[in-house]
Amino acid sequence: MSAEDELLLLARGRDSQMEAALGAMLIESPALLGRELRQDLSRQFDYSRMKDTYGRVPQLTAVEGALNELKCPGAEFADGGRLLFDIQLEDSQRGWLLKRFRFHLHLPPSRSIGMVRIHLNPKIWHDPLRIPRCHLHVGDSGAHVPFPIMHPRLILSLICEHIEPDFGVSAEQGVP
Amino acid sequence: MTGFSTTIAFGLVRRLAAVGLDTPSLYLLIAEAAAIPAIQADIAAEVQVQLGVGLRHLAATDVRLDCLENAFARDPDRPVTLITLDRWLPKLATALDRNVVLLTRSGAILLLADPRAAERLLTAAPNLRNRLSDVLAIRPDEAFGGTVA
Repeated sequence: MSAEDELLLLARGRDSQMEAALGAMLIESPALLGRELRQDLSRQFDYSRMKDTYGRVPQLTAVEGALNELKCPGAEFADGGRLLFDIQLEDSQRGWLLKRFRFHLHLPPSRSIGMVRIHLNPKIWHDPLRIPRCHLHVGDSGAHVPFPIMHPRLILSLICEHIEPDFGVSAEQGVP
Repeated sequence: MTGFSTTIAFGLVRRLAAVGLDTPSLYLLIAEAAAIPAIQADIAAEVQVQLGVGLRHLAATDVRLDCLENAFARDPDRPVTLITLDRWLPKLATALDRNVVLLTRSGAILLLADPRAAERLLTAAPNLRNRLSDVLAIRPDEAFGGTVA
């Protein structure tokens, strides 16, 4: 087996683990997840990290067939950052499963990195070596950095409490 | 009836969370009769999500006037009580008015009524009216209502 084939096999194994993690993560209902995310965003306002969303996001809509979508067209951070996300969930016999999500974090202009994107692509054919199904983009980079499968609430927490305050902060900005 | 602030269950339960469940709270919530089932479901979901506790739900017609002490006994697992005034019961209004101290000892009490019942309650129960934390118009939560799951 060539080195390229070995790497492809390893990448397929990694994607299989992602698929297993997605299959094991059942969501009770899109409405409940939406209420939980709304509460999480409100808590960020309580901690003065975000501006008040007044409970208006995310919004839940039926997309097509068994698909529901939770959409946040924009939530603003106190320092000028902005978060947009959409999460698609599919009804299955076992419960609701994550089908696709996109979290787009626009960092404040003072940062050296413009944006961070975390994507779970829909399950279609892809080259696992180049595009892991769940991945992260930093800035305008086209590189797809593998990202672990996590509950959307955990991703939101990671973005709000770690990525947004830290990414692209220069040494001078970071010193109190 | 006009002039009351409008809220949704999310905002109402945020208020309860801010003051804490150990602080007695008594709210009169006014909603169109057709919207009451959706609002009941919204309140139950928000109490669970935001406060991590269950909601005790009583219909006015279920409250036994001779056992008010039991009806309003504090339940540590369900410290928020929603009483839906599903029909006008003058004896219940009088009993609530006379036992308002008992009522407010139970944690957070939410009285949900249509505009007509709410108006009659405000007129017939002056003690209760004086103890109200607020009177709010409440509408279903459009973000998670409708036909979606």
